[in-house]
This record gives sequence, C-alpha cells and structure tokens, in this order.
Amino acid sequence: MKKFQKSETDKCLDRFDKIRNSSGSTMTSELRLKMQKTMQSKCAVFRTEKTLKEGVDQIRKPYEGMNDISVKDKSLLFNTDLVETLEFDNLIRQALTTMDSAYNRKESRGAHAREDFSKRDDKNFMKHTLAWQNDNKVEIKYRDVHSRTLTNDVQYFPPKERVY
Amino acid sequence: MVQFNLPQNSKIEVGKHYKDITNSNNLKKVNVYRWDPSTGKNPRVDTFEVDMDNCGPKVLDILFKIKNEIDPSLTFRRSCAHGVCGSCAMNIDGVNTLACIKSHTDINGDLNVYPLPHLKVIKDLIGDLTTLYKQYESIKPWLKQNKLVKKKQN
Repeated sequence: MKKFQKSETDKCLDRFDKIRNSSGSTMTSELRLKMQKTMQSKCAVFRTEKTLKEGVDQIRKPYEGMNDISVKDKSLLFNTDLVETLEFDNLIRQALTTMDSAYNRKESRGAHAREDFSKRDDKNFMKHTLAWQNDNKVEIKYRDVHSRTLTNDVQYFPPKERVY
Repeated sequence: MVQFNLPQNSKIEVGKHYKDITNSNNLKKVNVYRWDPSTGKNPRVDTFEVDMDNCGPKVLDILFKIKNEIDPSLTFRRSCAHGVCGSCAMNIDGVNTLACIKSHTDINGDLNVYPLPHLKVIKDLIGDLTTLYKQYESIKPWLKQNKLVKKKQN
C-alpha cells in the first residue's frame, strides 16, 4: 500500500480537531440556514448580475461565521453535531466557489441560466471554470474544452446549442 | 415479596430544564430521554420548552427545532422525513411510531419522547439495530435463481 506523507494526514486530523474543539458562540444550524437562504435567493435556478453580485458578498458572512462556530457535543460516538459541522465546512466552501464561478460566467449554459445573458456565448465561454478557494478569496481560472476524442475510432462532435 | 429494581446505572434521572427564550405564548414542554455513554453518567430526561408558533406539524419538526435552536447535541436518526424509511422510529407519548408521521397536535399536555423500548440504546434516541439486521439477513431478503447457470466459456 502506498505510504501517505504524515504532513498530509496531519492536515486532515488538524481540521477534525479544530472543528471538534471549536467553542465559539454561533450554532452550526444558524450559519447553515444563512447559507441555504443566500444560495436559494441569490444563486437559484434563474440568476441575474444583481442577485449574483449580492450573493458574492452575502455568502461570505456564513463563511466568516466559521471562526465563531460552536460544537457542543465533543463525544466520539454517533456525534451528529460534529458531523453536521464538518458537512457545513464542506458545503460553505462549495457555496463560495459556486457563487463566484456563476458570477463570472456571463452567459447561459446548461443548468446555469442567467436572465440577463439568456444565450450561450461560445466565443467567450466555451471553457471550463477552475476555482481555487483560499480563505474567503476564490481564484477563478479557465481551461479549454477538449476538441478531440481519446480514440481515432469515433469522430469529434462539437458541442452546440440544444434547440427544440 | 421480592422487589426487583433496575440496575443502578439504568435509573433515569431528572435532566436539564431548557426554559423558553423566545417569549412565546404557545409553548409545549417536551421531555426527551438523553444518554451519552461517554460521560459515564446515568440516563436522564431533559425538558425543553418549545415555541409551537414557529414549528412544523410533526414530532420530528420539534426534534429538529430543539437540535437547531436549543441543544445541538441532541442525537436521533432521521432520513426521508415522510414516513417511508423508518429511521426515526421512536417511542412518542407511550407509543412506538415514526417521529415524521406523528402529529404533535394530537397530543395534549407534555410530550414524552423515548427511544424504542426493546433496543439497547447507543445514544439519546438511537437504538442498536445489530439484531434487526441479523434477523433481516436470516430471512434472505433477496432474489434467487432456481437454476444454476453454467459459467460462460471465454
């Protein structure tokens, strides 16, 4: 079996211990509700520049709330309080990158429906979004969409707008 | 007559009383069985005063409200929340039922919530399902073919 670097496993354990021993004054449920409401109202199915701009600011509040989060249950048996807090930590980071990625993609494509940019824009956005989250900053970069197949047996079909 | 008592460490003690902090006029007292084996203490019954003006109709909604707003360490199983999966089976008002289909509006007075009585308790309202899964396996609840299929020759 492959040996893992201790520095890597320590990162995981540090995160676990930090969250388990957090003793702030904000309940996980309070921050989670804020996150849910922000995502639902600012980054829902239909999005606009206005809602996403507000969302980019607003979603950082529950993220920063992590600094003052509390885990009341410290036990290691069926600890749903701890599990929910670890889940929230995962989700809020995901929410941050989702919001920033959506704000930066000024077109509609697939499940990303912008009411102010109702058409897809292959000229500027035929590319994958890559996001790096570092504290409350999200760095957005892009990667080209492959225009080839992995085998010569099938030809390449360029993606195109789906019309009915 | 011989008197049989519960073992000393099974005696249920009076737990904490969480007073209402919302100033609601529509309160319900909810008594919940609590036990955390890691503390080494006896089980206890905590009492929560819950604001019923801002609560869903089912007992599970009350438990969510307690966990989200009063005491996040309250532990219970739940999954589908609409009477299909059976995860939230517990003893409510003296009856074994699912917390997600039991309406608290049917219950007058205080609400008592206990784990299922025939299971060993793991923590709070969570029962040990090891025996259940063993029994379930013993009835072989899967489809079987009645003919042996020859292995395909490659």
